[in-house]
Amino acid sequence: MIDFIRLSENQCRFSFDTAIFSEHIAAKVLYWLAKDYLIYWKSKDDPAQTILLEKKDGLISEDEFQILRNDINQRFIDYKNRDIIIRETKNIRDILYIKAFANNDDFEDFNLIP
Amino acid sequence: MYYLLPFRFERIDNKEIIVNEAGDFWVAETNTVDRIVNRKISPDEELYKDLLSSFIISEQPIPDLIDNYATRLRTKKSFLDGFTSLHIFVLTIRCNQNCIYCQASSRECSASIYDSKKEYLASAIDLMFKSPSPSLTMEFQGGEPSLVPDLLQYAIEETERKNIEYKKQIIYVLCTNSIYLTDQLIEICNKYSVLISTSLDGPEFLHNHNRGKTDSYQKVIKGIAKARTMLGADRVSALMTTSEYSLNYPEEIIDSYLHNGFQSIFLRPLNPYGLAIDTSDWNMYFDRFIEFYKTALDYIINLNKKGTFIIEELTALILRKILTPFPVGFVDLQSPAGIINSVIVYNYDGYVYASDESRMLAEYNDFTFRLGSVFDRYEDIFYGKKSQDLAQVWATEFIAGCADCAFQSYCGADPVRNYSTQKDPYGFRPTSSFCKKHKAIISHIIKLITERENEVLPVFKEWLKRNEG
Repeated sequence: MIDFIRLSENQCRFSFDTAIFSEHIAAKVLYWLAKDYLIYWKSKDDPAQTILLEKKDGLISEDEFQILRNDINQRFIDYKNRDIIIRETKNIRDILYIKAFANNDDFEDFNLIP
Repeated sequence: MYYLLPFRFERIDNKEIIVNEAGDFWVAETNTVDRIVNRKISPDEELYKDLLSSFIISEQPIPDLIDNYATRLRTKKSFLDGFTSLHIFVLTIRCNQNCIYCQASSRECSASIYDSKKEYLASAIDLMFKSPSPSLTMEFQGGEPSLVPDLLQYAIEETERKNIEYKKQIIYVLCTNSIYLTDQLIEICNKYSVLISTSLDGPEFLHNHNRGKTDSYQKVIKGIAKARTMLGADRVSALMTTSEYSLNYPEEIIDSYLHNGFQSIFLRPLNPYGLAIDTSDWNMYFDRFIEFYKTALDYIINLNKKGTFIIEELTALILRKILTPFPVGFVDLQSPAGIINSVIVYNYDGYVYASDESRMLAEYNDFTFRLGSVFDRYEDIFYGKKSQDLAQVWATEFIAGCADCAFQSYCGADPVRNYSTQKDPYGFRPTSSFCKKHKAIISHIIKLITERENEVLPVFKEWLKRNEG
């Protein structure tokens, strides 16, 4: 996350690098912020994407700004880790669910193949 | 070098809660997930062995014990095996009480147009018997079903007659406020081993306040005593509903349950249906409910430590999900959701609804979850277009906000509630009171288990043992 700055009493802005955090990860982070903030997402030519957050109700205090900055930073890291786990374990998860829920009788034909 | 296995995680205070695909949880220090994902855990570390044995990592691309792991996952989801097992029959929506939070939109006592018809019941029973489940629970609800004993008797006798052919195991449950338990009703309950599920909201002043009556408590207590004497104490259970007023009295409510001879209590919040929808501020209500729950649970744990046995049922259900390999038959916390998969409602109006809450919406002319008529074909109701549409949004495994949640295995999906509160069956988790409440409660239980292990685990284990029995 780059340049997390306060723009006004109810707005702040930050950027993230798509070479590090995919848009998919950013969308998951922003999903949880949508309760309290309007989200404006600006795509630039370079890998940096800019997000402007505008509080729906009330102002962003200094304390809230600091908490928000730390929280968003942590969420980016966590969702990146989740993304890695999902990608790396997709096949094994599929195998696990197939083994758990497939009707084993369906596999008998495979055993008959010489 | 090791391989990752599927797992999810959440932060609680300064810890990381890691949960594998079968629902086993594990509490770790901050930054552990980052170390796992970035292959920083060395085989020399004790942690490495813990992660291997917890199916968080594997030394092979496909772990040797994958078949055992798959069996455990299948067991967790075995509530799906029999498909719909809970069949709710709304015999009438007439009622003799005036509950301030009435979720069933009950009507005046004399308005018999709100009673079911025998032909509706007969068709609904035929549909019930088409369920593949070898054991069925037939639950009679209202309004107040004790106002129509003839319909109750007809429904049970018709079921018994048809079951000579189907040979299913059937449990009958009468959900009643216990005010009008006549000798005729008791005789029916005795003859067909009907269980009584009644409502008791707490001490006299509180119960009467919630019922909108001045004499409800005495009548209910008298009814409970009569049912216990005639049917046996183990055949009578009670549920409470936490009105806004009730939130001030957690300890008094528990004391009243003990005073009236109950060994369990289910701390149930209001649901946003019927008259309860008028609750002033749902956000504030759920914040207060979570505090109410924590206070009450602490009080219950202390009572148990001092030798008074009493179970908090919601906690026991979640504990069973967290600490045992078995599923629970609680339709609110299932994925795929309890609607249709576990429960169906045959309403007094001759229509079939996806859940109890669905028929409550219908009283406000919202028929979104009406699946068809009792005269329709079973396949058209249970596998029809509406059911298929609901299936698109009824699993925590794939809906936004739940798919990544560490508590996915312990929680459930509820499209009807999403629709009722957010006008969208898919739901929006950041503002969902369902999500907020369950996250808070599950986090609290996990914190209790990890931070006060020696104090709470003996109590919790007793609860699980008793529930198994």
